[in-house]
Amino acid sequence: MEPDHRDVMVEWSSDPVMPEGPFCAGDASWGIIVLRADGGVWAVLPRTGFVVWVPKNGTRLTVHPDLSQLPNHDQAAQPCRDVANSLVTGLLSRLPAMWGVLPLHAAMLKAPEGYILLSGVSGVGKSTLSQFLVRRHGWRLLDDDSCMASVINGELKVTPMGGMARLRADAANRLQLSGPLLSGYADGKVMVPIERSALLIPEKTPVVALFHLSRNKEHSVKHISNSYITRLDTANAVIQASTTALSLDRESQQWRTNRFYVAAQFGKTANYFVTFSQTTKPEEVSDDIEKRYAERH
Amino acid sequence: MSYQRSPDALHAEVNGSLILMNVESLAYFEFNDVAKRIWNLLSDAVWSEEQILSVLVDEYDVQPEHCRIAVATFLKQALEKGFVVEA
Repeated sequence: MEPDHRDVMVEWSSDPVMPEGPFCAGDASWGIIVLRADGGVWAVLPRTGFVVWVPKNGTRLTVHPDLSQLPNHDQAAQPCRDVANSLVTGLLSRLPAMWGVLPLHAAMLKAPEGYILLSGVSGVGKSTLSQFLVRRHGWRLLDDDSCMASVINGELKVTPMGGMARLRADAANRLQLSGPLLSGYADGKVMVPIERSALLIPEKTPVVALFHLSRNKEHSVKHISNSYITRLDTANAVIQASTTALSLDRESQQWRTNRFYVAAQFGKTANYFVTFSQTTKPEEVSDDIEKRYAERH
Repeated sequence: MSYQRSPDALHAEVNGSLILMNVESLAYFEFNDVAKRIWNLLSDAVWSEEQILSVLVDEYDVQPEHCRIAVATFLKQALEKGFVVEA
């Protein structure tokens, strides 16, 4: 049985290390930069002064002071909080890649006839639209940021990662929701309640539609119409679905292979490209998403 | 010249389409019916261009010269994208 996040142990070490190895994934804006090493990877957490050793089994992590960050270490930083934020937002969501499972940057909801994924980069509106779909259409929210997928004997299995629901403060106000303000987010986020019972899902998960969210129409899929919500053809659906995958090592053959077969399974269902710009009302977009879903069920 | 499938090529049948990805280059490709037939021929053996042509001319109602162009075009693209290799 593959590990899950309950099997992950994080240890702290006072031994300073100098992480070295070829770059294999990440970006300062993600909160991690990943370097490949013998037996695992180094996840450098920029500006925190710390680096995390992730062994190949991906379950026993060790946080070390990072000698490579000493010259630009921010004295005003709050190491514990910053490291915790980077671990949650940058590293833990990618760990399933070490377990042979494909991590996806997508919210997961349960509609009456099956599961719906809303994919897209951070800040695109996954949490906001998820909350509107829950409140306007009675869908259940399983995870508003990340889930993981695998194909076993030709069957697609998708599970939510079980993270807390985070929502931009302006969207929370609009929905008259309140919760503790979370640190570490430039746009201000609050924690909102999530129905934990919704996490109990069956082994075989019917995913009935994917909605790929983007702020603008500049994306990898060509030849889309002028509408802000467009059904993708099969080839574009597979390509777009593959961009939903998160990685810790983009060169990994296992990750690339998993990504292809999961994306191919997603290509069998309805995939839509959604341009969710700042000027579009989330009420309207969530209603249109529900309408597209209802047309098919 | 003879050809076989590249070990770097992954394929999946999706809604009747054959979608391929080269695991090294991450290039994607969608095969049409003729390309699918050639891909199936290459599943378990090395085939020459002439052998492929001969099978397709037998199976499809097509002029040999048109078929020759289609096969050559496919093989050229599939080679460039790393889905087939020369044997």
